[in-house]
Amino acid sequence: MKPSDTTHPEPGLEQDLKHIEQQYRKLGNDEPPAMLDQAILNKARRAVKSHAARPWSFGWMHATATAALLVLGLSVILQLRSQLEPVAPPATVAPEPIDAISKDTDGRQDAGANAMQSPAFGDLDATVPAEAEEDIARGSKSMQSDPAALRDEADQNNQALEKNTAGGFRQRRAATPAGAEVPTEEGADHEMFNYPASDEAAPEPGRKAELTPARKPGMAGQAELRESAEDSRTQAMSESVIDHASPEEWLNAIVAMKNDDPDSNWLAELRQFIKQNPQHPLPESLQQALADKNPP
Amino acid sequence: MLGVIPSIGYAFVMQGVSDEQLMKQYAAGNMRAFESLYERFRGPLFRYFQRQIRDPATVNDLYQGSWEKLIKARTSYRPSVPFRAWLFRIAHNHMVDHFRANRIFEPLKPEQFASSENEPGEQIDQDQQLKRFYAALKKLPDEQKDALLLKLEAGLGLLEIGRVTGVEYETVKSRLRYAAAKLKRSLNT
Repeated sequence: MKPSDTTHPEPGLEQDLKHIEQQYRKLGNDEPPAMLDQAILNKARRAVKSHAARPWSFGWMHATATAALLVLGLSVILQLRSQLEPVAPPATVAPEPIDAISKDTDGRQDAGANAMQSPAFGDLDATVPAEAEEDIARGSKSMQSDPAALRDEADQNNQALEKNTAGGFRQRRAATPAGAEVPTEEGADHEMFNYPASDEAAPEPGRKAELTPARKPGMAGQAELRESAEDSRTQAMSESVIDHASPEEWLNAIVAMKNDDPDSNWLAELRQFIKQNPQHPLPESLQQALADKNPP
Repeated sequence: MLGVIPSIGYAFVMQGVSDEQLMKQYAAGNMRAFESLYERFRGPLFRYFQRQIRDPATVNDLYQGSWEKLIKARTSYRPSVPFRAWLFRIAHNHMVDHFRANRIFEPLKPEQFASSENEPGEQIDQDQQLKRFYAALKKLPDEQKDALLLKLEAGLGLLEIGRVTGVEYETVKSRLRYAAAKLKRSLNT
């Protein structure tokens, strides 16, 4: 083998090394076994082939970076898509015009009509709009009444209502003057039956006429419509019992109670009516029902 | 020598190509270049181990392990570094690691230097001379022996030997001077 020394040692040392090398070459040129040669060559060939077979391989770092980039891009795309999707439009309830809000009767009629047009209300009682109309007429009338007289009337009917109604909402409405604001749900327990005695602290009679329709145009969705329809229905029934301006209307309300729910306390209401109006004739249906309940 | 490994007959074509170019071609995927390189260095590298280590199995392991390290590190090779020095640096470090792990250094035996290709008339004189040569080589410290084999088998210069073994140029020269003086005395006696 030809030495590749570019830095020549001392001349004496160089001569000695040449002499030693000649002697060293006499020791023979031993070589590795053929099997070892083949193993090494195979190893070298496999290394080259495995590298050539994967031209796309960039190493684990590149693969990890590529995967991370894909995940990041996908998440950004999904995020953008979720942001660009149009928001579902609110329920198809057209808001009432502002001038209509100020009118109690118009607002309640619209709310009742919308509730009845809703498909979720196909199974509701058809008598609700009629009762609501009566209630509306009574509400309009109560707006013109004296608040003190209305409170007296409400207190007078409160006892009868407590007998008839088991639900809290009826008691709440019975304790409230006809034109007073309905307490909110949060404060309902505290405000129930706790109105102050003075007229100054009591809600104004026209307040309900202002607030109730104004609340309804803001409602959206069938659930709220259903709630408003139910509210108007039950309110009409309860107030027909309380605010019976005439015996005929009181009787109509009793008939409605009997038809709606035969298990309700319509009989107690009827007895209260007979007690207060002993000379007033009763409809045949009520006479028959009363006779069935009180056999001779 | 090429007849021993038929698969590397291509080495004839690669005769004019430098070691560094061949290694570069192999790193790029040219298996023929590696075959040519292997043909050039298989003997010197094997003897570099064989003349320092007594156990043939250890010699084979270190020889094969050195080539495997070279194959693994093929993409990190820079042609600015002489391939010869790079290969024997790998071999030297592999051997040092082996000795450090096993904490032994196996001395050579005289029969490992004997050759069966000598003429019958010269056998007695050469045997005596080889015995003396071996005795002198046996007494050489490991560093001097390693430096001498890197000079004789790998053909490295003093500067390259210093880079491979990690010592200064003057240290290499000193080691070689001491080794040569001892061996020369053994041959003259």
